[in-house]
Amino acid sequence: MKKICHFIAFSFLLLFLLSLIPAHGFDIIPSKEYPFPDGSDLPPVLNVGVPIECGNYKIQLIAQPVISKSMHAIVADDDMKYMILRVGITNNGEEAVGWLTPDSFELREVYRNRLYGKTNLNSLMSARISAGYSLKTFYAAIDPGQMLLTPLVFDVFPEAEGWILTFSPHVFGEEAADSVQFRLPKALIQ
Amino acid sequence: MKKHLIFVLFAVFLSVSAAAADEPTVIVTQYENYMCGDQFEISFPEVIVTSSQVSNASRVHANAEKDERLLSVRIKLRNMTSDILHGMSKESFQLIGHVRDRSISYVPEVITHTDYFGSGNYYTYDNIPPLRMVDIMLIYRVNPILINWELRFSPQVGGDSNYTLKTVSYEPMDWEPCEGLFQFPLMRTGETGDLTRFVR
Repeated sequence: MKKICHFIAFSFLLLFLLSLIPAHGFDIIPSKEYPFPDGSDLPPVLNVGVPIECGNYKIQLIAQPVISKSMHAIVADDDMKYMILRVGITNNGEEAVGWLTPDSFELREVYRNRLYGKTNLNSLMSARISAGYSLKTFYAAIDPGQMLLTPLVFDVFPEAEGWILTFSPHVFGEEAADSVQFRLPKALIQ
Repeated sequence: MKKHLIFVLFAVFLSVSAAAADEPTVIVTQYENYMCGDQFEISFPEVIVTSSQVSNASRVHANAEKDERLLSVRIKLRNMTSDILHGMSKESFQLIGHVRDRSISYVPEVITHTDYFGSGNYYTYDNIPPLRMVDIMLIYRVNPILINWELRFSPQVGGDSNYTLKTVSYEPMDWEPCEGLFQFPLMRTGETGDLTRFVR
């Protein structure tokens, strides 16, 4: 009898211990308690008006980024919107440079401090908006010591929680020698 | 002998009490985001609403018949996997209503992007890309006598074949099962704006 009692008790205790292991292997917790990456491996935010050096160039944001569904009566495709960055690119070298390629600029989305989709420069819209505001295009020549003020346009998903811009200046027919990355400040969503 | 019996009874009690707490359950708080396992983030930005018609600016989604109500649940869902979530089935969003000792569960009649005005877009509940928070409206045709509504979220893939999105091909994705019960504390009547608080 004693042995049977022991056996039954042991069986139930075993059942109890097994039930402590979550059946689904997960739980529901508020997101604020979830260990998302802290973003310390991401580049820091580059605030408006602060230049950052990249080889013979310097780049800075002239204004807060703007996100808009339409621009110059052209509506962005699907669920995307246009991200408009007004930047200043300074030529720190001793010779005039020109014809920066569109792939000198690349934007990446950030969600929960993780990098996600890559977006290339929409060079056509960038050129179009430059003309609209009587500004030079991103591929215009920059004299030594001069700053080129130009708008850059990207097609983005507006739900992204942040963006990282990679600036790797190079002209046609050359490889980029230097590259710099920074996080954009908060965008104005229109 | 007595000692052994007490020991057995205690073990039985422990087993029963542990078995009773099986499915993860939360009472929904507005604006709170929840992680369901490691792969889904979900939130309920609005109180659930019952109405006789559900529409947005571009179309009427559903009309209730006699002795019916439409119950809409707005959810924001983030797919935390690295794959596009394709063909999520309606069984992923089971709504359960209770009255006295009865419970009835429903699957949504309509699942739609909350603010979407077009059609045929790839960015809908049917193709949920990784990491982006998607805003989905679930519309159920329900019996109005039911109360104490809760949503059982158990994501399941509807299709099982490969598919292409624009020019890219994708394999079906695997994920860790996630099943949770989200209990709604409040309900709003669409026509009058009256709020009903559920007592559990």
